[in-house]
Amino acid sequence: MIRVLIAEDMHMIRSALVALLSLEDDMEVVAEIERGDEVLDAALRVRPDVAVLDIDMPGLDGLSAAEQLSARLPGCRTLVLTGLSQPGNLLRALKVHVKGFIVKDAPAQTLTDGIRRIAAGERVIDPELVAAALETGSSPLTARETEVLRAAASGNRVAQIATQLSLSQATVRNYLSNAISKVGGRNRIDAIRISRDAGWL
Amino acid sequence: MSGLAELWRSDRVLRLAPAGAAACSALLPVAQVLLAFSYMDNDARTGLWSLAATGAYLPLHLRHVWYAAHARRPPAGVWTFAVMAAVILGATPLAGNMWPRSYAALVVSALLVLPAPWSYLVYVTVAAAAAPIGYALGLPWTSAPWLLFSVLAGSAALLLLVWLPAALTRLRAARELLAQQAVAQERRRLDDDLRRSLGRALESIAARGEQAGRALESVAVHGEQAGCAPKSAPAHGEQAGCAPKSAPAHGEQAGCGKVGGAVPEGLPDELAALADDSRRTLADARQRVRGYRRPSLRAELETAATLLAAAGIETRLELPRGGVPDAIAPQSRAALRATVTRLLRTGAVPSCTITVTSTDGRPRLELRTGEATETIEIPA
Repeated sequence: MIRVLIAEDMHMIRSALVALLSLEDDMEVVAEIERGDEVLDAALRVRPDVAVLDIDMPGLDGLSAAEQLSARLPGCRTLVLTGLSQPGNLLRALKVHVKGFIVKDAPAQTLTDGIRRIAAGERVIDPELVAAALETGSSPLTARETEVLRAAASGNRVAQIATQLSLSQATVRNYLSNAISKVGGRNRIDAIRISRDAGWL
Repeated sequence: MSGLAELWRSDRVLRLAPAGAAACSALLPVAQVLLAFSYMDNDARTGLWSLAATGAYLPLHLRHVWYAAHARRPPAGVWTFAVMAAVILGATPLAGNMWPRSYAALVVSALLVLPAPWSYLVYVTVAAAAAPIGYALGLPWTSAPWLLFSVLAGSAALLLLVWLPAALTRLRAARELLAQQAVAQERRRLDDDLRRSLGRALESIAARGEQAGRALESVAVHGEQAGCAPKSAPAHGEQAGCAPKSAPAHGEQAGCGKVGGAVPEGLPDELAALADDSRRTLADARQRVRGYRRPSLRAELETAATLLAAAGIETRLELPRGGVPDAIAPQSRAALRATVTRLLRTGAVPSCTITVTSTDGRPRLELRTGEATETIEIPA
């Protein structure tokens, strides 16, 4: 019996996933979570074999939750449900040892098969996601530029970002300007949008 | 059409402008040689020296002008400028007292070839020296200011003629860059629009189709459990306890499920087919969107290497010094993606080397994973 934890913030989809997996003879849903920051605690409590995580959740995104799981509960394999709109997330997912990366609009059979294969130790990655990631390319931003742009995406002003990251305001402006130019944005907002769409933030 | 004609005219001007600048730059030295033969005070030897020196420096000067008019610095420009300066200055005592007029070409070349501030220094020094040198060579003191004026005015006119086509070239390059950026922006907009409109609409169709299929299936199952019509319902009414065959709405009678009994034959299959069709259309739409983007092979290989490395496969990318072809055929691209997907899925490969080689001018891609080597031809 494969013990599955499901983390999805949308109630209807979560219920549908639970109902779907409950129909499988070899699977048991042991936990349903609606926030990303609750995943680790729940997983430590119920010790699932596979954690099915939505990529966008309140509190903590699916990939960050997967990173925590990989560090604290290495025996639990993670499968992340994602959209095709952020192909850059595949790279981040591989870095945090996500074993499965499936698009949300895949047929239901893909999910159940994926859980079985992940539980058996295989890696499941949608070919469409690989194609999209190869087309989008790696992030052109350096780690520092990503950090500064992420801070700007949270609504912080230059002075606040400078304080947070222990940089001068001029340096923050330089990083932002470089990031805007590298991703081909018209301004800061556009650069944040492009980077988010590509999954670079 | 008028836009295209305008573009063609501006391109023609751009092609002719450097030739015009070179022709004008040749005109003054040629006139200088003719004058060297025609001045009353000069003998034939002065004219011949002037002719020989001009023949030696003029090609170098025209080379500087030609490159500068194309907004480029001439290769080994400092050395050719040094030779030119040696010829002009060396001929000064031999080619007559009007020879310092040729300093106009020297200062123009200095400004085109030498980096600032050395170019300005040479310009000011040489231009200022023209009049005293002319005077020392026997030019009347009243003519010396005119010599200075002719050097300054001649060099200014030539520089204007050179800088104008150079500015046009830079403008054209900037225009091309802007056009490329506009195209990239437009592709991104199309991508976003398709994703927002078509993508969402089709996703919604697929989800609704699936949902309806499941609902109908479950209703049919309930009907069956209640001793009513089974899922494959041609004979619902024939079942015991249900409506007779002749009844048009058999499910509504005899306590059977209201909807369960009314499931038309084949509807769940039809809805499933609808969901499949929608999914296929969505994949087609995505493929079309991908068609707008043509990532370079190099970028794709670098991303592949990054992805494989992130998956724990030690990956080395070996690219030829001569560069990688920009575009590859869709089949080769698909083969590369399939291989990368397979490697990412298996994850059991410890290392991978991606090499681009060229045999008989035909580039090919090799992916070596331990013992196995996969070769992909890259027809452009």
